[in-house]
Amino acid sequence: MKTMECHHQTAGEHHHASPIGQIQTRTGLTSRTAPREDKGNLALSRPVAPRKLSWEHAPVAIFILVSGGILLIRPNSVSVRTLSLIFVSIVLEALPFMLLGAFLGGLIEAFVSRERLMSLLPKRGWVTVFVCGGLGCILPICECAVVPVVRRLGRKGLPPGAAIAYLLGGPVVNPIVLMSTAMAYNFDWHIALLRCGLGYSIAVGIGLLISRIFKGQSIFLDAIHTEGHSHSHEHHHGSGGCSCGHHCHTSSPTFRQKMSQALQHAASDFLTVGHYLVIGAFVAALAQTYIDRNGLLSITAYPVVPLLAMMGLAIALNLCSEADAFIAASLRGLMPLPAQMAFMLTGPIFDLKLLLMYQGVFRRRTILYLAGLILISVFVTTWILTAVWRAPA
Amino acid sequence: MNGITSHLSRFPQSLVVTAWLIVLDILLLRGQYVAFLRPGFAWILVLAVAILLGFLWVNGDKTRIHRFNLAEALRLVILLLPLLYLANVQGQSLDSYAFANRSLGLPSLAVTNAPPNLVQRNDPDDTTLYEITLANLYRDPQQFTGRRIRLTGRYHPGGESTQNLGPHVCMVFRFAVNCCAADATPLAVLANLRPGDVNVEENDWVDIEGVFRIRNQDGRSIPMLDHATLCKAPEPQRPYLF
Repeated sequence: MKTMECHHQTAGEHHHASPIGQIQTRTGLTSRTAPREDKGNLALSRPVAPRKLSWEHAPVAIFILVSGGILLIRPNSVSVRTLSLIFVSIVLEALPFMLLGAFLGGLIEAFVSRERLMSLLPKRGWVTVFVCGGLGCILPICECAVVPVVRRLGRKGLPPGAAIAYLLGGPVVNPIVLMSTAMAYNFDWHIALLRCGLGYSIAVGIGLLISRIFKGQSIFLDAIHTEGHSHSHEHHHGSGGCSCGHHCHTSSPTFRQKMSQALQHAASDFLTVGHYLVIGAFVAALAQTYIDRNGLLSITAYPVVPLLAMMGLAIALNLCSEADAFIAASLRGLMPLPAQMAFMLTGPIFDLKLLLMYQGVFRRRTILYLAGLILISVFVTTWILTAVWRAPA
Repeated sequence: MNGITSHLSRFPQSLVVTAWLIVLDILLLRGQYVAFLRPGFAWILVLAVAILLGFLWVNGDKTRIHRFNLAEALRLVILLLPLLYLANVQGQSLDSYAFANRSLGLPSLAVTNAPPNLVQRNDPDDTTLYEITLANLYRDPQQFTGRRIRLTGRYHPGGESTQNLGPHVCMVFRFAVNCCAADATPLAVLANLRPGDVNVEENDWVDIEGVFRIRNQDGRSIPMLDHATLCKAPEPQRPYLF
């Protein structure tokens, strides 16, 4: 029987804010010095009082009041019924994938040690970015699932550029999306491959830029390195996987204990980020219900505006990367192909729901850079595509 | 005492997870999820149930220390919100409001699989009635031109988009879903009804029967039924086409 000695803190230990030192390794991975080992447990052992009502809760409280109010005031109106159907549909579709992503992230946290992860990645940082951009080919998950996985990988020390490349590449460069795009376009593989190719280029390009911009800095929230330690799992050095900074000690844990850890991490991630998904889905449902698509699409006569319109539509509709190609394809004849491509490239990496979900993973500065780089790169890419598309004619 | 406090502090999390588990189970067992998702997506809900059960299991860990706070309370309330909205739309599906919002006028209802040099069959001796769906029609319009077909959909009087096409022209529509109702694409057929009373209202489910042809409208191939008759029909078990 394995012995497990676990030194729990009094309460609310996941709220401690002890600084975490960072060191750059040979591989470019950001590794954190664990406060539990070399800084003692002073910061950890200080009980933290539960947070009281503060202004930072105001937006969330307002959201609850508004969304609840809409339902209470006009539950039977046609538009609220449509809003409800779309809202619930988005949540029902995205929630399982988010849970899956959280669980995958938990498994990575529990079963893959930081050392193991480092040994799996190429030694050169830029090669890691290229590899991670295409990681969706072997781990094909959609944008809702990729966010919690990246959260855990970031915590494990995946370099910023590589994490971004996987975040942006995963939902586009994967076999399921390739197949659904081909199906939507009557098995025109040129369009499916073009989408994957452009998606990969954008993911890697932005990943490399983020590597350069955030050299030596973390792109992740401090909280993801410190939270979620309120569970009774065991800490194991080297051979194990959990690098969460928890200060429990045990000899090698059993499979059951590791699964328990994985689920605890997954639950923690889900309960921390899940509400962003709901808020994003609600905003998306509002946009789908009340924005007039006719108005948005009545500007195809201008050369560049259709690109912007379709990017805006992708941001507003918040469709799954495995379904958006069908919507894009339904606009054939109304919109030029580059505009359809702008829709298919923007949606999986940047929409209202993702914008909110990113807030549970990245610093605000990172999100600003990410948003700017995504919008610029998709626009420039599809603008070039427009020029190329017109050239043969 | 600490144990009791810890248990109580984890209770709201367990409550939210349990609420979701119950709702997902009901949706799965009664097959009601098809009002939101395509039938083939039952497995993703099963997956969600399995993971949520795992969450419930680890949440019962007595040694786990947890302190409940306001931020968490707000997050949990938000996670319950979709369940309230779900209760508001039991047994309903997207209707003409969504159709008007998504159809983008007649050109967007064109069939893209119709070849430009489509030869419209005209065989008055062929009295066979083909019972098909709007999805069949969009997939292979050529197969049904000139033939008498019957399909089920929701009635839409047409409004502005059909007023130039004749006094008895209306539309019958249905949504095709790829993943979930959020990506629902409207499919519709114009119907040139035989003169007479139309005892149906907007959004009613109807069976429509008529001779199918492709109408060329501003260079686009719009599906149309001539000499059409329609009657009320019960709502199909699956409101969407997949």
